[in-house]
Amino acid sequence: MIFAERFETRQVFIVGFAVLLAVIVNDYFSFSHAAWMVVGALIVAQLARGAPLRQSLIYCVVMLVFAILLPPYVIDATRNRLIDIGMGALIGVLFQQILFPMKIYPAFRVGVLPILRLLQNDLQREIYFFSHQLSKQIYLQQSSERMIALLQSDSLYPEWVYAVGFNPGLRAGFRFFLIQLESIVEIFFSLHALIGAVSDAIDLDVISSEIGVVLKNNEYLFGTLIDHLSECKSQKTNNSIDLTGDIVALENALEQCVPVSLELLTIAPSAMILIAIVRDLKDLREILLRLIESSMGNDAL
Amino acid sequence: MIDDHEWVLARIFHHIATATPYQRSQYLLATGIAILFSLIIARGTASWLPLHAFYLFVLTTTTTYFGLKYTQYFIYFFSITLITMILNGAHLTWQHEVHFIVWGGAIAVGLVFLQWLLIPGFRVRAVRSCRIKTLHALDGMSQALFVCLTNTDYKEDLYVFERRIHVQKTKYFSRVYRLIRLKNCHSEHLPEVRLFNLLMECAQLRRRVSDHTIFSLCRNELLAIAKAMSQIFCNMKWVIQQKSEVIDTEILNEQINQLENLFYSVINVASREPLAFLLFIAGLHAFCEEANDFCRAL
Repeated sequence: MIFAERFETRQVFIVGFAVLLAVIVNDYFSFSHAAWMVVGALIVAQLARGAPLRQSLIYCVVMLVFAILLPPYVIDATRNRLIDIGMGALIGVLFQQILFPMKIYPAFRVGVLPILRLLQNDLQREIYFFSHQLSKQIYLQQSSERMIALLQSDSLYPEWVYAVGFNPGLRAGFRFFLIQLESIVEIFFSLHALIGAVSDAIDLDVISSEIGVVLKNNEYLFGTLIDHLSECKSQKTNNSIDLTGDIVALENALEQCVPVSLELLTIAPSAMILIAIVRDLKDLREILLRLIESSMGNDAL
Repeated sequence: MIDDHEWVLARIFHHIATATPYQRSQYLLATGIAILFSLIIARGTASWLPLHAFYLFVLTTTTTYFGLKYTQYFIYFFSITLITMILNGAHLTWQHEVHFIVWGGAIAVGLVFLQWLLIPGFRVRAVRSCRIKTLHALDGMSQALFVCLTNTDYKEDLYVFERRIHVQKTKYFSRVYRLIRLKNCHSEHLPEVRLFNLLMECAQLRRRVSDHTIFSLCRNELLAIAKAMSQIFCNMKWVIQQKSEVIDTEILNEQINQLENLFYSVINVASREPLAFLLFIAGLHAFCEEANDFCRAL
C-alpha cells in the first residue's frame, strides 16, 4: 500500500483504524462497559517500528497488571477488564503486525540512513578541519555532540535484526551491514580522540592535502552508499575517481615525515598520532568499499 | 527524506531534560484544555455510534500525526487521546470529569514547581548519579572490548561479541547525552567523552589483527590491563562520590609496560601487523594520561 511506505503515515493509519475498530467492538461486546478495549488497542498500536510481537505482549502484560491493581477489587470486574484489554490488544496487534506489517528492507534503510548521513556530514567537517577552515575546538564540539545525540537513542536503530526470531535467511546480510556500520562509527570516534590530541607541535600540513583527497573520496563513497540505500535515482557516477592512488599517495607522504623503525616511533608521539590518523582513514576506506560491494550485490539492500 | 524528528524518544527525553518548569506548566495547561474540549465533543457525539467512532478516529489520527511530527510534544498529544478515551468510557458525571482534569493538572504543575524549587540539590545529585552511570557503562564497554581480544571464539561468534559491545555503547551514549544536557556543557569538556574516544581508538585492534591466535601470546597481559582499567573506573566513581581524591593509574601503567616489553620481545616478530599493536599501546598510554587528569577535569 502506498500510504504504508512512510513511517508516520503508516503509524497514523494503524493507530486510527485500530481505535476505530476497538470503539465499534467495544460498543457491542464490551464486558466491563468501560473503555478498556479502546485503551488496549491504542497503547498496543503505538509500537515503534521493527518491534517484534514480543513487544506487543509486553505492553499487553503491563496493562493487564495495571487493570488487576486498579480498584474495585472484585473478581468479576477485574475479569471483565482483563478480557476487554485482551481484546483491545488483539485489535492493536492485528493492525500493527498483520494488516500493516513492517516492510523489512525499507525499515532497515530508514534505520541506517540517518547514521550514514550524520557520518557523511562529520566527514565534511573533517575536510574543513584538515584544510584549516574549522578550528579543532569547533570541530570536536559539533561532531561529538551530534553523533552522541543521534546514537543515544536506539528507537530507530534496527535492533530487530538481532532478534532471535528474525528471518535466518536474511539475518547474516543485515547483521554484517550493521557490524560494518558500527565499525565506521568507532573509527569516527577514534578520529575524534586523535584530532583532540593534535597539538601545535604536530605539523599536519605535511600530509593535510593528501588527507583532504582521501576524505573527499570517502565522502563520495558515503554519498554513493546513501544514494543506493535511499533509492535515489540521480546517482552521481564519477569514473575518474582513484580509490587506491590517494591512499598510496597518503602513505608515501607519511613515510617522508615519520620514522620507519617501530622502536623510534615510540619516542615520537606526534608521529604515532599521524600514523594512527592515516591508519583510521585506510580502515574507513576498506570498510566503506566492503559495505558498498555488499549492498550493491544484495538487491534487498 | 529522513529527518531528525523521527527520533521520537530522543526528542521527548531531550525536551523533558531541557524544558523549563514554566514551559512544562504551560504545556500541561494546554493539554488539560485540549482534553476538556475533546471530551466535550466525544460526549456530544456519544449518542450516535458512527459519528462517535469517526470522531475518535479523527482525534487519534490527528494527535498521532502531530505527535510524530513534533516528537518533543509526543507525550502531550498522546495524553490527550489516552485521557479522553479513559474518561469517555468511565461513565463519570461532568462534574467528576472536570474535577479529575483540574486536580490532575494542578498536581502535575505543582510537582513541576516542586522540582524547580529543589533544583540546586536535585541537579548536583542528578549530575553525580549520571556521571557514575556513565563510568559504569564505560567500564562495561572496556570489559566487552577486552573479551573480544582474549576470547578465542571471537571470530566464530562475531555477532554475539559485537552485539555486546553495541549494547554497552548504547548505554554509554544515552547516559553521556543526559550528562551533557544536565551539565549544559560541550561534550569535549567532559573527561568521560575523551575516555570513550580513547577506548574506541584502542578498540580498533580487534579489526586490524587478521590472526586472532596472536592474542594468546599476550592473553595474561590483556586480562591484567582489563582488570586495571576496571579498577580505575571504580576509582573514578569513588572520586565522584567524594570517597577518594586520587586515581591510582600505577597498576595500569605497569601492565601496559609489561605488554610493551612483550611486544618488543615476541609480538613484534610473531605478528603480521605489529603496527596495530603499537597503536593499541599508544592508545592505552593516552587513556592512562586521561585517567590521571580525571580529577582535574571534573
